[in-house]
Amino acid sequence: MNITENDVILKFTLLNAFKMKKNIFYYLFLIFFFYSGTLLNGQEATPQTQPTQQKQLNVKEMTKEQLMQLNYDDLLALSFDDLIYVSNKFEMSSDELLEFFLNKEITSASKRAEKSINSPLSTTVISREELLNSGATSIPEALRLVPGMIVREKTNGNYDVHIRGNDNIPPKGMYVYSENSITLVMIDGRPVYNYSFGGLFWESLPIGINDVDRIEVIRGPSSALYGPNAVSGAINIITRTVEGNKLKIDGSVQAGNANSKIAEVSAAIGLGKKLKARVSGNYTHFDRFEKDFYDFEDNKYYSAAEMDTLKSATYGTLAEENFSKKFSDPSLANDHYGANAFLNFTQNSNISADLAIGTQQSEIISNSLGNTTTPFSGRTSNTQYVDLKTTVYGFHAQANYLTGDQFVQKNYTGWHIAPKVFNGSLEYEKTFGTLTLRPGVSYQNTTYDDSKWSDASKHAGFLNGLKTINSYAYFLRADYKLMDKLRLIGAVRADKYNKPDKTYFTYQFISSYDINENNVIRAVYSQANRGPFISDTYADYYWPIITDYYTLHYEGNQNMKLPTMDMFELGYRTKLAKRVMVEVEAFHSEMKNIIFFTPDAMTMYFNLSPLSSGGTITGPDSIVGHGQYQNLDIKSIQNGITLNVSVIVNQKLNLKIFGTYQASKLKNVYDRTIWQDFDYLKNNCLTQFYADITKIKGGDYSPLADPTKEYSATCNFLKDSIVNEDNKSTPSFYGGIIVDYTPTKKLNINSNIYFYSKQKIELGVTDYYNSSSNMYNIDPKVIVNLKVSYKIWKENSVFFNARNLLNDDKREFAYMDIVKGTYMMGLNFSF
Amino acid sequence: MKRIVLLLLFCLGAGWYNLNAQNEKFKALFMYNFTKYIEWPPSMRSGDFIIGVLGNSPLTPELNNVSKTQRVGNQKITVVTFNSVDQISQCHILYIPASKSSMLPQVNAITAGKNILIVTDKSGLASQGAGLNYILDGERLKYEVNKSSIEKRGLAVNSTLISLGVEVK
Repeated sequence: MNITENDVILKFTLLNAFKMKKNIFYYLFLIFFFYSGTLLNGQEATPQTQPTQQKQLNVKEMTKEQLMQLNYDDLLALSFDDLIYVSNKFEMSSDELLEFFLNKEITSASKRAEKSINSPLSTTVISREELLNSGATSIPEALRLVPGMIVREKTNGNYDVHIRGNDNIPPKGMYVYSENSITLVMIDGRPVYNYSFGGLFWESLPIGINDVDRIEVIRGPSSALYGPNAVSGAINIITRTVEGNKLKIDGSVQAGNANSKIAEVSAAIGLGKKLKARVSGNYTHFDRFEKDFYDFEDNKYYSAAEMDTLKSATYGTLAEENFSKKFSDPSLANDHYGANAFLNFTQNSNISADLAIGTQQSEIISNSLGNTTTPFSGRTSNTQYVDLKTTVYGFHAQANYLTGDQFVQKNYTGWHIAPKVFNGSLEYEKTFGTLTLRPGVSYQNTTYDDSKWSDASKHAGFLNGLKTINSYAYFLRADYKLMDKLRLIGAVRADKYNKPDKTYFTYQFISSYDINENNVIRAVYSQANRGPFISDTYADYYWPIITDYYTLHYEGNQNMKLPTMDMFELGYRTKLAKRVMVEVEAFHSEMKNIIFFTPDAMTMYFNLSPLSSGGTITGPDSIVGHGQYQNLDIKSIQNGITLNVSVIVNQKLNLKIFGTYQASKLKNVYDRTIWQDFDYLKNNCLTQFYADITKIKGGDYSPLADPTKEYSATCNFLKDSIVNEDNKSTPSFYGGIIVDYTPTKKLNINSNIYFYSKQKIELGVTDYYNSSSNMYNIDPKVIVNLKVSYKIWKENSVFFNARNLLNDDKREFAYMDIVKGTYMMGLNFSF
Repeated sequence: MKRIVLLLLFCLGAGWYNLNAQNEKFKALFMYNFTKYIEWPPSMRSGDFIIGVLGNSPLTPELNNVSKTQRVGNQKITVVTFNSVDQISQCHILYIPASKSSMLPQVNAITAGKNILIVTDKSGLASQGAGLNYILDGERLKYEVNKSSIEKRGLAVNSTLISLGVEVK
């Protein structure tokens, strides 16, 4: 396709598409695709297999993929010099094959490029090719390709992702404690983390699979490198770079059952020698696999229509439970679209700059975070970001800003917030012989503001205004190679937070020894902490459980210790044979200072005056309970081992098998729910009231001297309820198998299997509804995915993509939807 | 699970074979290119260009592929299999597969004085009388070239061919 035609199509689609609403964008996208398809048909007149008199192949400028496209006649026409060059590339010696597939370059573990075998931390890289071949429909789903990851689908397209466990701590809490708040996810080094309640809203990432060059996953505490929240690990999603000056347009469309639709497009161009630009858009839609909603209160499933009738109140607290206001479309699971623009300026190998901007809009139905009558709630997010990175000689600087509007639990007052997040960092890398030093500073400022939607005077919101968490940090990393075989790494970081007003040190000490070129052993000790969350710190919420009668004062705590994890790990990597890489990691981790909302006081207000005239009192005039976020004594101790075997059978077939076996224990678990504690406080207050009644009945009228009575009670961790137990929320065995087979140049068959063993999740919310048991069983599950794709013309292909091919519809997350198979057909285009 | 393992083992075997087949394809292409840099005496520049192969070899079908569309100068390429050293007759190139490497001394004897380019396929043979010898560097296909061995047979060799390969004396 020549430039002018592209220009027209590009202008037509991109400018219009990104201005319009998501549905129209999707249809426009399809029109664009088919329109360009007809143009492509016109070009079929010059088939690929034409003898090469008419084009001089410049093989030294061709990419490996392009070289693979050469046919026999092309090879015959090459000069001998070129033929030798191609044969070397084409052949891909074992070493190169291994380097290409097994020993990929990774930048996240040391913040500079190195081979995977030398990575000082437990790391896995998913390359773009692996990502596309696997048929993963979203980035969190793609993490099922990585060892050490526990990935569960909650509703269609919405996933819970944990690295190495630490699920649902403490048990018997609200849903929010089942969220992963201890893994840092970044896009090109920019944290994409939710600091309000912790965790990650995967659907709020502005990029799609087509934007990804690779995903680097680091298992284990990495705060010393990346700052707070990289506790169980860090995930860095690295976006594509532009190659060459020619305009390249690529993307895909696929659709299938459950109203599943995914569309992505990217256009990239080089402008002169120094500037490269890329724009992209993505759209995803999934409907839920189930129509019904579980109700905690009645302990049964209702249809959407029944829920609408039963939960239709429009006033008081129950108004928050109003079904049709919570769920504008009860069949929706996930709907999101994003648009991004990337600009790269490279002056030379020492000076470069990258600018990225983008926007996203999403709405999902997944688990709620707090106490709600149904386990589901809606969540919307609309955010924009800008990210600038520059490298000037050894200096690396990055600054980014995100702003937006997130309704974390749709229709519930207090959960609608406007985040503004700023991150800035400056690092410098200098090498002295075999010693590399990397000092740096960083600053982070996060504000969440709920004043637009919550009446602060009534403490109706969690935050009731604009609240800020910020921190600045200094860090230093030293990397020293001794005698060419022993590598010693030390990293230290100090984060000074505004709340809590403390400085936290995190560190990493690694020694890695090259037994020989093919065997590397390492030992790692690291400590990392989770940062403060806005809600934990600043909550000042009067929760009207029953309006004007029963209120809970939900208070944050600005003086807590931050959750901290210590980990010790031994790792071993070996290239067993030329085509086989085996990695073993054994880890021991302890996490403490876990934060939880704990009830501690209650006051009941009575007016006893009716008793003086022979009347009766049925109960208090009002009840006010109090609870505050506190550090618990609970400790999470995990011991585990992960094995990962990668085999390159040959150029056509490669396979990967991995699994983790671990024992997860909890010490000093407070084995009661907050509702049991509030009941205890209630009973304590009532006991005092009954004592007064008894006095009055017995003729002692002293309590009536002042008829307005306050009966108060406090509690603080009823000691006889402390237990030690296994963390049943974390499976003891999980892993996967990936088989990628390319029998001919045009056909690729990829099957990836993911499995986990059984889990039991305890939620405290069921206690609120006096349920008989808090325990929810998740059965073991094996998920088989399959993608078959066939190239119809150059890099354009049709494909069949099945997620959960065998339609094993067992639920994967407590009280969430069944997860059925998704079967899609699609097209990949690239020109 | 068992079936998957069996399938994988099968693929392993099939793939292994396949990778070697890739090598043969390039050997044939290399051989075709050799002809561009070597001159046979005028008497041999008419009629068919004959490539002889000693015994059975996976290279033969690849050479046949080349012969379908390519020529050496004006000469059509013909591939002939010699089942034993005694059967060796007139040819321009004689290829000795790796499995027949031990026959090189006999081949040298029988073809003495003839304008034949001997191409072998085992490490070390270029210094034992072969003109060109395929070698693998890791798994990269390369070739050794022995200029004097080629010239002793009355063939002229272009210096480019020497520079693209590994010279052996």
